[in-house]
Amino acid sequence: MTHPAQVLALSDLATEGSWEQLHLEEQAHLGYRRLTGWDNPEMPAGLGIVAARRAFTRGRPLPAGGVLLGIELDSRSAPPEDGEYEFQVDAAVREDSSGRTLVRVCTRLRRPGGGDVADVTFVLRWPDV
Amino acid sequence: MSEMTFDAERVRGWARLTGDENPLHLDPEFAATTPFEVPITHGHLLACVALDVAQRRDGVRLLEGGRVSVRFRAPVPVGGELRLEHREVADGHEIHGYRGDTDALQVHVEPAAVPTKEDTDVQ
Repeated sequence: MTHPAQVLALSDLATEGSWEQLHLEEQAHLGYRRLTGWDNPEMPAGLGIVAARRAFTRGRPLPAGGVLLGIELDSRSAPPEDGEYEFQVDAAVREDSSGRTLVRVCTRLRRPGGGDVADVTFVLRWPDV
Repeated sequence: MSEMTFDAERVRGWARLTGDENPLHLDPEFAATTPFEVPITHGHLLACVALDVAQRRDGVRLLEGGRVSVRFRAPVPVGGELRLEHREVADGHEIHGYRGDTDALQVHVEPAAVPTKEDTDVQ
């Protein structure tokens, strides 16, 4: 059970091989179009980034002081129009040369029952807590 | 190539969309206590705007097998403008986002290969 007000910890990130469910509501798709200006009939690949962030955070805030350093996207197919996903999260943690914690959070997205959508990796400098 | 202004309304909307309500993006008083000093635009919003540019160019070659790598070089303050420029590179293409003269964003795109005639011929 998630507790939306509880700050996300490193130990909370990975799903340990399990697939979890995510529903991206229609308003999210419409909001994406409005906020980015995407006006093509194709589903925008960037919606996978939105889905991945919602997936790995599970509605919980990240600790204050973190920095997003980069994002990697391997797109396999268009994001589903119905907003239904399954996801898996893996996290790799290491220290940089200055002793700061770097985290690669990889979220795999697929349609329920199969059909890969994207792998999205967020590269984060995690704050000292 | 294209430009976009990331005003407070756009940033607030993106915060609600993604669930990223870090006060660094939304609260000037909080931002003033950070090294950034002012609220900054979400990096994933900048990435998606650049990704949209790539998808307009590559279409299905991005959606089905494309690889994209985004690096954030400098923050874009809320209210700031990002100018996107496109460059061809050996293994794909790049989109650079500039805040004034500052290179704020670098996006490397490798679209999926176009199938050759040999790939598609029926045996």
